[in-house]
Amino acid sequence: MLFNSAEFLFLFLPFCLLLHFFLKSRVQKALALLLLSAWFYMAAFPVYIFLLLGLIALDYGGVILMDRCKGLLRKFWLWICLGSNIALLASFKYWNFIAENCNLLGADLPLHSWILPVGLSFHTFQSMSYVLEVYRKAWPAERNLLRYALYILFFPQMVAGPVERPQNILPQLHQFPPFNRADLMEGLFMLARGLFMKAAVADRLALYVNPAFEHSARISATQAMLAMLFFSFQIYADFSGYSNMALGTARMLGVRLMVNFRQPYLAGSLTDFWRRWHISLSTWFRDYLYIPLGGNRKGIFRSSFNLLLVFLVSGLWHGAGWNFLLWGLLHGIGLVAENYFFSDKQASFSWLRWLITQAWVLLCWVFFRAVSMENARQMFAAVLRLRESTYTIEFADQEIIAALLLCLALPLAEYYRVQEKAFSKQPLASIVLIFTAAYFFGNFNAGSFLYFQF
Amino acid sequence: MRIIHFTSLLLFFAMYLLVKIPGGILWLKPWLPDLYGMGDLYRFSYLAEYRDSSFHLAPPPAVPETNTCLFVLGDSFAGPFEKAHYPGTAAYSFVNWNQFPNWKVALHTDKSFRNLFLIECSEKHIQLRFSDGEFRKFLSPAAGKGEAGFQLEEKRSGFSANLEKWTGRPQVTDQNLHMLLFSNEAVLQIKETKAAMNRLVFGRIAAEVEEFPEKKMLLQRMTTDMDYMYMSAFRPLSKEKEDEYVRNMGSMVKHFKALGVDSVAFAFIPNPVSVIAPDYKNRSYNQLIPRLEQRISETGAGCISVFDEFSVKKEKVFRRGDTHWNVSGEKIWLEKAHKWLRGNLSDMAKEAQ
Repeated sequence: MLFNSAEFLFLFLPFCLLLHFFLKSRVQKALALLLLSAWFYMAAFPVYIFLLLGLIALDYGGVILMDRCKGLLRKFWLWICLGSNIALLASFKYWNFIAENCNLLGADLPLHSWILPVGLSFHTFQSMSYVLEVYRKAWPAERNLLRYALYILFFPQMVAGPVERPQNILPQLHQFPPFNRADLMEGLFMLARGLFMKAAVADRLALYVNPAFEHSARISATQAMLAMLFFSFQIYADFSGYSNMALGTARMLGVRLMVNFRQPYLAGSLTDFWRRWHISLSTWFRDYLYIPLGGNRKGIFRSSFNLLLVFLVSGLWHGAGWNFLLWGLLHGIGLVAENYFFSDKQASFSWLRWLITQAWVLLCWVFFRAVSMENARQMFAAVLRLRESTYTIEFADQEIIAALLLCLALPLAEYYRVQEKAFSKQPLASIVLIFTAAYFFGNFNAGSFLYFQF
Repeated sequence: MRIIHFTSLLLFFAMYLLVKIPGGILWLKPWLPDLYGMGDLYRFSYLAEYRDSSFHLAPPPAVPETNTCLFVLGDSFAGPFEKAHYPGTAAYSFVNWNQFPNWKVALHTDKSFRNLFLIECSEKHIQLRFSDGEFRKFLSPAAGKGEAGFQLEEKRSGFSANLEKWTGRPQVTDQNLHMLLFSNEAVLQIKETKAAMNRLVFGRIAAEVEEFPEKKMLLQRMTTDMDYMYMSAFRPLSKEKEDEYVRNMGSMVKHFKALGVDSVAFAFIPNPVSVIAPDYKNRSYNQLIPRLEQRISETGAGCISVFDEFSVKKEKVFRRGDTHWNVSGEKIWLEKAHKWLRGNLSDMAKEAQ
């Protein structure tokens, strides 16, 4: 079920809120929320709920057993839990990629046509976060199966994050504050902002970006450059819009999720960018991969290697394809270069560095958006060869100007916190205004969120 | 206060059930506005000037029944007609292409009856339905027994499909919800304001349609845009493809005749753009219908052609905000269909002599 669908906005969410208001006992609330979350998940491919429940049961039981053991046996249970998550992810998401590439080298591995379960990468990472935190004794094993299941299945963040940590969310699922008007208003405000970002920004820009990438062999240099620029804002508006809607929905239910974006296009360096973009995933990789590998404590070569490895894995997390791997690798190379040439601690904001950073990010997005390496090559070729267009993208001049102004206004509005200031003065009017703008300028036919595919 | 909340909770739950249960929304259909009737292209675009209501031609006066049974495999063009629209037929049965593979055809077993089979297809679907990969789907088996007509079988679905039917299908749920909550006049006014504003400010209308201002009508984009491989009226059609469709049409005729059908006819309903503006935006119409109709005799079937007459009458036979014909178009088609039926009756008479 999509956050921008009528089913969610006009049926599911009001129903959840009414239940949240109506039920007083915390157990009842948790149970109702668990059932509704399962229902939410089943809107896409219902049969996968059994897979997810199986994984929840395995992790729940495995972690309790791990918690009781010491030494090798503890490690055994750790790897059983991590292994089952990784195996599930690998079999659904990566098997075809591995098999196709092995087959190119002469192997004869079969391919499958399984549909990827919604949000698989997100909830497996959230499960692994819980397993690792308990293993490290940073968090006790959850004894209440209902709460653990809700930790994984909690619908606002189950399908596309934020990838939560047990420390943040489990205590909240134990307490469940009563219905609160302030939470409701703030949640509605975040939901409205998210909807605006998704429908009026991301899906509007998609009307230019999608045909441009689809006809990359026929578009002009200007069209290709505009498509690249628009995509960088499309993906930001799409994903941050989703995250805002997730945060808003959770807030209305009294749960505060972690912030996932902090004005990434104002970042003055790549390091800074990754502190602001998809924060829940970046910190996941930092805490569970980069630091255990040694982080930056073992010299420049080892830390460079660690960075490259982490970003390769991050690229692979986003998608099973060479273009995603290259996207990750390029970010890794950018960070290594940045560490080599600049010291982040000494760096003050510089416009030149900001420009280089954002240009690098924008170029990397081309690999992320392209459906193949050939598609990406054609986009760059369109820019470099300065060719004429033989394809008309149906996007009127005034719409292009409006989109460019939007790309300029968006970071400024975020920097000056325009919406937040308006909300603090006139909460209800701000919410109504943003919802109205989202409806009148929004494109509601674009379908899913970009990050749902991961 | 608690009672109010409890009531609203129940109300939402009931609403949820209505839009989620397969067929649930149908219970309310008599009280809901007919959005499709306002125009299927209007429904995409919500441009106020293209909203109208659908009317169907009233059946002609009844005549005594003859020993003919008419079976129509068709789509939304022939769909709204009933037995009374084909006077003189003893039995009439319609099945939509979309209902495959769950239909079987039971022919009249009495030798004194003539089983007539009409295959009606809108132009935008011809290339898909008669292509090598597809046409076999529509070769239904003969039903063993029963009254003459198409027999639909309830598809038996497995656990997974049943689960999906009750919990999944987000698009169907959304559609039902729109029908329930957002098809009333007040909401339509808001939708029309949005559509008008987007057209005025950004020159943008719904992606599914194109506005044809000279004729003050909407066209379906998949018929005008050359990117649509099968549906576009302007994508060049190779001789090999034409041969393929004619060959497969012939195979269909053979199949139904082998089942016991006495006579088969094809009827291709042109896209509005194919007859109104075959040179639309300096493109040139691929002549799909004229090319196939010219070779229908090779298939062993008859032909109910409206193409020439529609080409003369142009926009007068189509609705402005819909892909379908208006009452005038229906009238022309029915006249042609009656002529084909009468031809079969006179054949019968000759055979009897």
